[in-house]
Amino acid sequence: MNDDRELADLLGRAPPASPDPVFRFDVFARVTERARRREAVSRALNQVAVYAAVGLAFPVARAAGLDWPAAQPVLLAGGAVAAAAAVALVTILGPRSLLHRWLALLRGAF
Amino acid sequence: MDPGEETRLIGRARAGDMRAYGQLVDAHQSAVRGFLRRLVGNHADADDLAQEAFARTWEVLGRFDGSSSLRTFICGVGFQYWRRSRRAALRRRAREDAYAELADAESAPPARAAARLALRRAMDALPDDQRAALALCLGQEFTHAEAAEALGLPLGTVKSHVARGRARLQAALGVAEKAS
Repeated sequence: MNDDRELADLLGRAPPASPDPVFRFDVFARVTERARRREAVSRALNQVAVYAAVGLAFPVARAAGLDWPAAQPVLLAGGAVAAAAAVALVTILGPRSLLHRWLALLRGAF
Repeated sequence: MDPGEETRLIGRARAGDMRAYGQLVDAHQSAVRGFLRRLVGNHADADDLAQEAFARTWEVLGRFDGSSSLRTFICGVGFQYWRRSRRAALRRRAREDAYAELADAESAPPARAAARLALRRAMDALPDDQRAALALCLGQEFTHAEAAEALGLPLGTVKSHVARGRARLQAALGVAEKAS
């Protein structure tokens, strides 16, 4: 009973040396889950940074002495470019890509 | 697994080859799970920790410099996870362990079950480092030097932890045998 091996077995027996595919599968599931969580955190941080930058832009511009009539043309041009970029991104990369759906519709039509 | 093959698989896994990492998981899971089972006492919690340790190792494989074996490295990661999760586990164990120990004890012959419970209590009373050193070395799967690497302790400390811990477990076992 005083043998180390016996003590170890009483404390908790190691699983057989033969590979356990279920364990391997669970490890991979955890790897995927951790990667997904990391991406979600990074996405959330990016969003916070973008919104904070947008929120800061106005008071900073004001503090720099840029009033609305002077900034209007620049802001309008910037807004148009941002809207076009957003539409392009949604069209190409969106969750249900508009471009993809339009192509499918066109293929169906012809 | 021979060291050359392991080095080759680690190189492939570092490049993102999950199949190679799967082979490394297969090769080392028994030793890592055995260590954590002895350390934690509850098989389900130990396997959870082992899976987390393997998943974390996949992320930090680039930091593995090859100065120790991968098995030792993963055990070190598992040990750090165990330490971090211990506070939360202590709260949870108050609820769950009584039932788990009872379930484990029911499946073993009475004398053996009493010995297991006495050993587990003695093990739980040991300091973290001593407990981990014992869990690594008692099963004779790890040398003292490997345990020292995994736990980040001097070799002499590990040897003394194992000798003192073994004495305390044997004392606990003597009490249990007299009680049964």
